[in-house]
Amino acid sequence: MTQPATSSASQIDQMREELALANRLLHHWGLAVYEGHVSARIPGTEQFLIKGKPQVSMDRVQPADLMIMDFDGNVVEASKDYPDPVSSWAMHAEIYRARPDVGSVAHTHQKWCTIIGIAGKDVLPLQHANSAVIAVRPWPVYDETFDNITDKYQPKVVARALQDFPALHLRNHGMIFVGGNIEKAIIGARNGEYQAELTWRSLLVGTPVVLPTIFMRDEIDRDLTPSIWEVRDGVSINEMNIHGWLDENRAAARDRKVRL
Amino acid sequence: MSIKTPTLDQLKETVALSHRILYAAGLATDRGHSSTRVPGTDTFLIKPWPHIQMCRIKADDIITMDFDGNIVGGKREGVTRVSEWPLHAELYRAHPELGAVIHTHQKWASMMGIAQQPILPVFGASHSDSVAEGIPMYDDDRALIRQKWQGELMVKVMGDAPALHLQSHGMAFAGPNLESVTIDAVNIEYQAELTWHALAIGGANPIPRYFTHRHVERRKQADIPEAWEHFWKWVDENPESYQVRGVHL
Repeated sequence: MTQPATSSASQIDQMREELALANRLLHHWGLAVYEGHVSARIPGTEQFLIKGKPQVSMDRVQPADLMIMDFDGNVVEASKDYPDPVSSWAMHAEIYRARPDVGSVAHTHQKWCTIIGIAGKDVLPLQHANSAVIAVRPWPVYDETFDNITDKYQPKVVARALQDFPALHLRNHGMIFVGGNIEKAIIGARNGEYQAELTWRSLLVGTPVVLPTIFMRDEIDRDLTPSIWEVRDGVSINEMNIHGWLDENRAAARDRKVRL
Repeated sequence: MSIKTPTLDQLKETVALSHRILYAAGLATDRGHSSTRVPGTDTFLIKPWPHIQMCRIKADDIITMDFDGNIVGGKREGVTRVSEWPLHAELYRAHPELGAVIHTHQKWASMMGIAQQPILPVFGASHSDSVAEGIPMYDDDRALIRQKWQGELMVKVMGDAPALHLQSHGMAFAGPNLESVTIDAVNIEYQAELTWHALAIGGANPIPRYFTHRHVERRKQADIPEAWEHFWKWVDENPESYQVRGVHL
């Protein structure tokens, strides 16, 4: 049974804007093309926002295209253009059930992380504390199926495999990143991808130096809170706002060689 | 070329342009920063915080700081200093002749440091001057350079080198003027990329000193590089021309 949402309509509208942008940013950053999906828990409910099917290029996702689902898979609200749930919707629902701290779940097939998973290696924390912190503990691996996660049982196993980590390898498939909010989930995906690329490239020609945990103390502390960023001199930063600029300036987003 | 002291406005434009070039060349996205000393003073010009994409930095954004971390020009609502300002301040304090400093997390050069492999002078003797003498490694500390003592330690390790690896973090560059330091950062990144690709299939053959020596000597003249004047300024006005380039030259 669906429950009435306790978040206000304006809060949900704002989440729609942010989540649609998150879908587009994953595209602009080269982490997903059309098969990924990001969702966001509607606070105080057993419902979440997620894109629907048919799947389209993720840089086309608009706020009104997103659907509201409950944790049992009922479609609470959907647009007529995108009426059907994505096949692995239950992965999102089970993670929200198992992890009250998680406000957003991102699923991608991003290249470098997926390669490291296929190779059976760990993405290492290598460069810049506030990016490397995503990999401070080796990510767990879910390897019970190499197929799409669509049945009733596997999504629970995925949620259990994730434990209390911010990321999970889906073996021979892709990644899951979670965060306290949408910003944190997708920035985790972005940072994880960069550390994965560095891991692969440095392993190929030498022995990578891992960033010792002691140099990520502040970042690990911040990692436990929904907000990523410190406030300095009364000035704070919002990654969604910074990267939102790319949405209006797509040419600038192309072919970035670095993510820092 | 006669040396004219640039005006403050011209210097701000140069600092802004350096940031945009680092973006266009793929060396930085939103983090990283370039600075230049205001000649004859203990102050320098640098981008502010919070970060934005570096292709968006304009001369009006640039702030002036002193070596103790005070914002002495360009202070305004919603803007503060980057946290790693001591990286710049301590280099200027230690080297009165130093005109410019850059800090980036550029991928290839940083990754070679992480992989513990030297960036070799592998391409073009005249483009190898900044790597021919080796790039020192600062690994006493892996945190961001946010304290004076960290900056002082880093300055010691860097010595007179044009570039420095900051282990687990990125790169620092320093030199007489921001135009040449910007081009050093670009050249070093390309040398790192080429060295990596050669190592990945067996090994890299560096250019012998015999060929790089005169270019290393030439650095003392502190010229404005041709590439700044005749190439990167144009790229700045025509950014689409440089996308998805497989080569840098």
